[in-house]
Amino acid sequence: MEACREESQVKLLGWRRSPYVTRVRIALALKGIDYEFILEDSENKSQLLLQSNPIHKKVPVFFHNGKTLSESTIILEYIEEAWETKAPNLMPKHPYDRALARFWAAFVDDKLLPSVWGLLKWQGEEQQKAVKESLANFSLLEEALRTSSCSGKAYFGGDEIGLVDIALGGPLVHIKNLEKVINIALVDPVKLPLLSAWMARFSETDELKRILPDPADVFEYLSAKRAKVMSTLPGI
Amino acid sequence: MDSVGVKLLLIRSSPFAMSCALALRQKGVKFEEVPENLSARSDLLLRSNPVYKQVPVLIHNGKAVSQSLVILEYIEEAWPPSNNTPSLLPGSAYDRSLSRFWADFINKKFIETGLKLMKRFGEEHATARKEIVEQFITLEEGMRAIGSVRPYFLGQKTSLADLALVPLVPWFTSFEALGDLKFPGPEQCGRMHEWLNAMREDPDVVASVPTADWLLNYTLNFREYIKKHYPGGL
Repeated sequence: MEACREESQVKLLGWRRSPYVTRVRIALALKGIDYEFILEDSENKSQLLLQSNPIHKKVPVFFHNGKTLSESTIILEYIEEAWETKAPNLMPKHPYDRALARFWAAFVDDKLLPSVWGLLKWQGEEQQKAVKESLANFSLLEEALRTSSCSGKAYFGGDEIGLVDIALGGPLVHIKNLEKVINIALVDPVKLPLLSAWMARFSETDELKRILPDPADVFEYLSAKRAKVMSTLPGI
Repeated sequence: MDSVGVKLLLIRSSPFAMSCALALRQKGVKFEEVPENLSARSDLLLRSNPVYKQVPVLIHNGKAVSQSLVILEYIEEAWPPSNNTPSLLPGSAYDRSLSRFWADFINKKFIETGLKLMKRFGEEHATARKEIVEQFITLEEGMRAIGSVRPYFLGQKTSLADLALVPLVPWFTSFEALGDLKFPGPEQCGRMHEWLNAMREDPDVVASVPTADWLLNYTLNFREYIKKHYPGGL
């Protein structure tokens, strides 16, 4: 079947292991949008990347009808708006619910992920503090799943995957493998049952399995990062 | 227009609160400014924004919205554009994304770098001094790259980018003083200066931001306070 002309103009620049690229790939898959995936070398930024995203020089970079966008959550909102009539909708309808979705997606980026990535950097007392902070952030997400619009539903978005699910789903494989690398449970099924169930459900969703990064690849990558940090610490 | 009980929790110096106050005024929404004391946070603030415990917070129909960019998008949607109500975002999906991109850059990079000029010392301060000028130039280049229609970021009408940048109007003087620096002038950064002039003449902007002098006094005093009590920076 011929992809419609508009969709053949969709391109995504990135690499499979990137949690942020993964977010965009999830949204495109859910909406059933065909695109060209331009694989970028994570160790060696291409001219295309530097030219199309000169300000941040990061992936993902999204191209549609000759126009360029960067920043994963901005791209997600763009996909929702440009293909608004294509189900499923990734955003709720009511302004307040939309505000909550944007709030929690921003929370994942502004608070949760920095605290999670930070866990690779510390050890000893600093690590204890960093773990406590990450756990507190995951607890807030557990609370978000428990309350009003999400309560009793499978996803942050309600009955279907939405913006917050995608925001958290992109880095999901990283979160699970980081737990293994530092040997600390961040999402304990007893303490955070809803979030734990959400993670299992998201990972097992058929459409998404082939998009989520390879766990072995991510584990190796995070282990190498951790080893590098540990080797630069004094006395080692 | 449903403006009953709209409250904006804020502090006068908060750049993020200034953006939200301007948005509400542009929409013609009557609201109550509720000044907060961040050394003694009110119950209302703690209940409304338990996650960040920060201003600004918008309270509408008894519900609280926090994080300035989230608030701006909420204001656009709760009081949607009509014959009597302007829009805060452009019409096309791409232009909307562009305004979001620049609002994000302004908040996460430019304003954050600027606040470091007040709150940090030593090497961090030196880096911030350099970066804020580079980012000012990036904003100039960004405006030019978008197009030649002026004076606003995306052209003739204000959008999220302009709302995010409005704190620069009073903070311009403070950034220069705190950083002991001079932003490039109109010859090098004509669009930025044109933008500043247009904003300074807008009565909604004037009502939504403190004067440059008030803010200068506030920021210099606050920096002295931080130097004394948090010599490693805040």
